[in-house]
Amino acid sequence: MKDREQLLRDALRSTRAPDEQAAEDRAWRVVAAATATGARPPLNRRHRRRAVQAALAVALAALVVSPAGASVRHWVADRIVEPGVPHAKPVLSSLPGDGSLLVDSAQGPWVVHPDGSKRRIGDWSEASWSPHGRFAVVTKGHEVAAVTPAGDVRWAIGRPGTVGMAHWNGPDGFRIAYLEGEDLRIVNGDGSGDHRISGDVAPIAPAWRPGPGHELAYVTERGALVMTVSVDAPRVRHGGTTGRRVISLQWIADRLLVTRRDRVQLLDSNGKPLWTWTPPPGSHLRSATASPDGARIAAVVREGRTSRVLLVSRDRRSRVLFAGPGAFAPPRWSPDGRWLLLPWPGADQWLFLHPGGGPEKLHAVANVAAQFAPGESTAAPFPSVTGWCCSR
Amino acid sequence: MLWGGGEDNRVGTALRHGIEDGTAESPTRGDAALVRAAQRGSEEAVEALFRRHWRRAHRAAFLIVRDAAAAEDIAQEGFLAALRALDRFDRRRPFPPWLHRIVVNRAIDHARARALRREVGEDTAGEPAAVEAETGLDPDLFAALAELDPEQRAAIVLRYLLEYTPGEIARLLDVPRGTVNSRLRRGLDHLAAGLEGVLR
Repeated sequence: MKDREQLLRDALRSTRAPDEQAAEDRAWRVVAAATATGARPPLNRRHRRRAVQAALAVALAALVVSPAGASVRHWVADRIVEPGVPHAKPVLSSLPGDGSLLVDSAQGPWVVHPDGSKRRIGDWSEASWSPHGRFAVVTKGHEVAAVTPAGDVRWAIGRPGTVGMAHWNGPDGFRIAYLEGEDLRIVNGDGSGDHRISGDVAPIAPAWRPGPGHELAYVTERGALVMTVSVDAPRVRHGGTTGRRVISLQWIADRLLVTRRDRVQLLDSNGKPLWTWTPPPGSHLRSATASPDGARIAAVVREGRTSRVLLVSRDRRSRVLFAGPGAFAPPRWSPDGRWLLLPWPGADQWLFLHPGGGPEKLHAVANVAAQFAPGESTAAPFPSVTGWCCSR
Repeated sequence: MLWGGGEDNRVGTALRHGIEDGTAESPTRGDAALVRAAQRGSEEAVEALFRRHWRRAHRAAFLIVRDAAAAEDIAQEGFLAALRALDRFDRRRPFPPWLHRIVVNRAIDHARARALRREVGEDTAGEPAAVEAETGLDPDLFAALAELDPEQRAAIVLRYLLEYTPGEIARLLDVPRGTVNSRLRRGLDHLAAGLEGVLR
């Protein structure tokens, strides 16, 4: 009889990935397109490629904000598998808007200043801004800490379980919520008073309701939405059952934006749905992020191999801001709501989109992964943008 | 001419032999010629590298993340990252560990993030019968794999699918060799129940 190692070897080696041949063909089309427009083109193709790139750049920029271009946009997304915007800047030399970015990388979080300079603030796993950007709350393994944008640790606490998803409340910054395993815990902004609020909490970032009440919304493991819990005096208000597939929670003033795979809903403070938006048929929501003034939502939807960023307004009308092959990470609004940073891992690019601007309002930055992994000799993972804060 | 020059002839040899049957030329030797040609701008060499290594990278990503769409994205983005960084690749080293390091680490990151932020009630693994039909993998074994943490799954996949030694896995994952041995031992112990299904 074969030993268990051989059995496992045989079982794994006979395994196929689902839809394997089609996946290979799709991936090759993307890789081939990337190679055909990559940094090492054969000399005899260079001139032709430049012309194609220039045409693509003009076409893409013109399509970004033109409502009339929707059908053409789909054509661009579906037919041209160019992974990335041509003529992207090779390095991030400045941010188009005010405020600083917080970026999680394999080497740790980075603060990126408006002039493009950046500083690594330690080897923490995750980071999130304080409400005014004077500190960041960071986590790694069993530790929660507050650090300055220069990386100086102001305080730290240790927990026996694995911690993550720490978020500072606003606007006073007196409380921080974080998860330890399935427990929701609160610590004061100065590192004191750490205590447990609830167990059986789903691993979805809790959302602080803006205002002085120190109230949180979160989702339980069983899919129940706890609309608000005052972390100072236990006062729980249940918002009903969210059902399945909650992706994120975000407060817009006194209303809660709940994003699921199949819809985005705005709930009043009693959990009653006030507004619902569903993505186009055949597509699935990947993220939805409200602008700082709450008037618009940037929704990322995926249909087959194509992702699109849609700008959704209160009247439920949507228009495509950008479309391309592969996955888009959740976009981040600039503090003044004028810019939208769209991370595109497959293209190794950041796109700065200007939802209210003209055709020229698309800035692309290439080689993003390497810029957040200086000194790495191998290809670095694509970093995550966790926040863009704050106007001074 | 596609295979007209000396360099291209070596690429052609790798294409014809290395890919099709893997016997006439050692894969590593063939890879070196392909990488050299790809670094000089040969799209044929890029395709040869892709066709030669895609399937195993894709399967490895799938077994670690257990999500078909995510695995496809991870393998594709891993390839793109590897090709973008090809200028920095040392041709004296074998290509597959370099690619697998990128893909497997991305898959671990994805699986970790998914475990931490998983959507309530979502089961991406699908019904066992569907899994078996689509992948050929025994559903009990698939379920047992799902219960491992991402790092253990990655160690198992690197050892028993991609056939790296524990020392090579330690270098790929940038962890001590003892950690790899521990992950393999615990992973195998846990999978024992699933392997009973394979025996039946």
